Amino acid sequence: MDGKELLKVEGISVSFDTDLGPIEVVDDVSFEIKPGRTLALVGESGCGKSVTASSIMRLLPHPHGRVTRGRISFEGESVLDLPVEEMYRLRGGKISMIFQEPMTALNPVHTAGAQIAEVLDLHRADIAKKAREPEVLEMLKAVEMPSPESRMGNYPFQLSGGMRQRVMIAMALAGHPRLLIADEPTTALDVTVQAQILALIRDLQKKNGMGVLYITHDMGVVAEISDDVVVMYAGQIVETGAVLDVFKNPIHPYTKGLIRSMPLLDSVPKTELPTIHGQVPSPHNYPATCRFANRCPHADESCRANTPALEDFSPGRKVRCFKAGRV
Amino acid sequence: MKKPMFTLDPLTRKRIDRFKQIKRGYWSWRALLVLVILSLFSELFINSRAIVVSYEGKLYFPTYGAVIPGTTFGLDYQYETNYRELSKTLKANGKGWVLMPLVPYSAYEQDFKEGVYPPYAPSLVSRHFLGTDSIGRDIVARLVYGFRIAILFSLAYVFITFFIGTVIGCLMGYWGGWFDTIFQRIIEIWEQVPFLYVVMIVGSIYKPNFAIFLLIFIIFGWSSRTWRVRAMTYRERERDYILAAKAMGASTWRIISVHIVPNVLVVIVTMLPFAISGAISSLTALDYLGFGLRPPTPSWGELISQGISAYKTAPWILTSVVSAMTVILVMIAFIGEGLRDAFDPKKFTVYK
Repeated sequence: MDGKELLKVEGISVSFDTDLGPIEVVDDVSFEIKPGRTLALVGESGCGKSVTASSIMRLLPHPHGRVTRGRISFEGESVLDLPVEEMYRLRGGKISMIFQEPMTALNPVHTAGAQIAEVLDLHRADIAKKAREPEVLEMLKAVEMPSPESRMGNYPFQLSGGMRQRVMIAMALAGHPRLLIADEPTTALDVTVQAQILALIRDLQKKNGMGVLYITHDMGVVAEISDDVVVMYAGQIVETGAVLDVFKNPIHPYTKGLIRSMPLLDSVPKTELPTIHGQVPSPHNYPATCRFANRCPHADESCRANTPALEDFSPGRKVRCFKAGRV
Repeated sequence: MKKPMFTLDPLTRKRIDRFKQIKRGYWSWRALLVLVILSLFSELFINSRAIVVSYEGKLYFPTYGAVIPGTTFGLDYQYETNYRELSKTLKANGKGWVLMPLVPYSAYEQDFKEGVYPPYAPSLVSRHFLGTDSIGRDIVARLVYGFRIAILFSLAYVFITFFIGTVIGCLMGYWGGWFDTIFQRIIEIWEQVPFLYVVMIVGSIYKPNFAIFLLIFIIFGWSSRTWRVRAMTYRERERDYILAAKAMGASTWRIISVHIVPNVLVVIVTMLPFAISGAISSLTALDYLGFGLRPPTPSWGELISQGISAYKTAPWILTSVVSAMTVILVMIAFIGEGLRDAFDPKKFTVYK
């Protein structure tokens, strides 16, 4: 590695305390993001994507959740060892986050403008108090908010979902972050708004050269926005690679299933959409063997008896499957 | 461009409009506000000192400021001028005039008539509009100055206890865990300390003045304010916007003050009027029992106790203080009721 990684996540495991004892919801996850690049973290609900993102920000629910193993370094600094005051500076300033639910992630009692101004207050000491309002307006224009002058005085309940998400993005970008974590930012939005928001994030990324960690379960979005893909299943990484490789030549049966279950324009109308049968096992009973075996069409006895490791498949590709390349 | 970013929350505006529509609450609020403001300047209306004295072509304003000795106005004594006497003297010798307040008596001063013992009945001539109490002090003066002390006391008490209660309640709710548990137990134990006994004991050791009395009230009053705020905070802190605030680097203190407190303020505001009337009642009750503010501080409780003992001979004492207290407490209750209705979210939505 050339040491230019913005974010480097090395073998982190996250564990939660429950009534049934501690459970490990993220197991040995590693990836890295370079400046200006986008990494997509893909997987079904409950496979540990958001937990991974929260642990980068150290926002795991306290005191039940904690990182038990591994290292997270951001620009060479170990995030997990930083004092709290440093974290306040890091969050929103160097790493910021866009949340899934724009409906609830804005404070109902403050105006949109005031909430963006708060980020400026926290992280942009270079901007004088008087200059904040024009800056907020600039931010709102940058996220293509319609009629930004009047919208900045609006309260969240007066804004539509897409507008709120734009406010969230403006808030996330106001601190000029080096890394943007977008946790399913378009899931709650219409498809048309979704396309606008995706284009917006990509434009802003080009301008600022920031790294983006994009969390989603939508393979269509992945293809559109990302450079690299990490596919997670049941708390583990099952496949990584450059986006084109992964889409052209998915290796893990789970990735194949995800890509196959995307609706396509040229598929025959009224035919059944292929799905992955079964459900993600609950973290309490993740099997010690291949975690996908009970849903995998290719699983055999050896899959159910042994534990696969994440191994190099080809340059830039890693796969966790015994039958990699053979099915 | 104007400043649209920091205008009044439209919801708050709606609540204020709604409060204005609740007639008796709104009018009680206005009347009480006028009464409180007037009572702050009651020296100008009810005072043994004159408002203006004109003596040998010079004007004097004795209401506020140092004592003016009688020699200044050509009288033969060094102590404070008796302006009611001065008025008659000046009228007789023509050296000037005196403008007395509406009620020319202070709350502490005893007014004796020749040959008759107080209490004196209400009279327009002597300007004791509601009579005097059993040692000759004017009842209007006692009532108004007593009201001023009671309302200032309750406002100070309520705002300070709500401030402490909100801060601690928010921290309990926000941090949870051991901090919450420990404070819950501390408060539960603390609330078992009998307030009345402590007031009696402290009152027998020190002579409680306004500040000490306020301090005792606050020490025992803050804990009950924490519960609701704590519960509200527990609910608010799980909201996404708190997580979003954390993710943008807000510190704990900032999250509590900027994000949580404005969201729990509604509960506090609706509780305020009832807390204020409660404070007035308990101050009056303690004064009545004789454990309150040190006499001769004007107080309603002391008037009630006088009024009860002299009810047959001087019914005007009890009648006036009970009416005054009823009117004030009912007005505060109306305000509270109006606020509660105005803040009730159900009123905004109608399903048909």
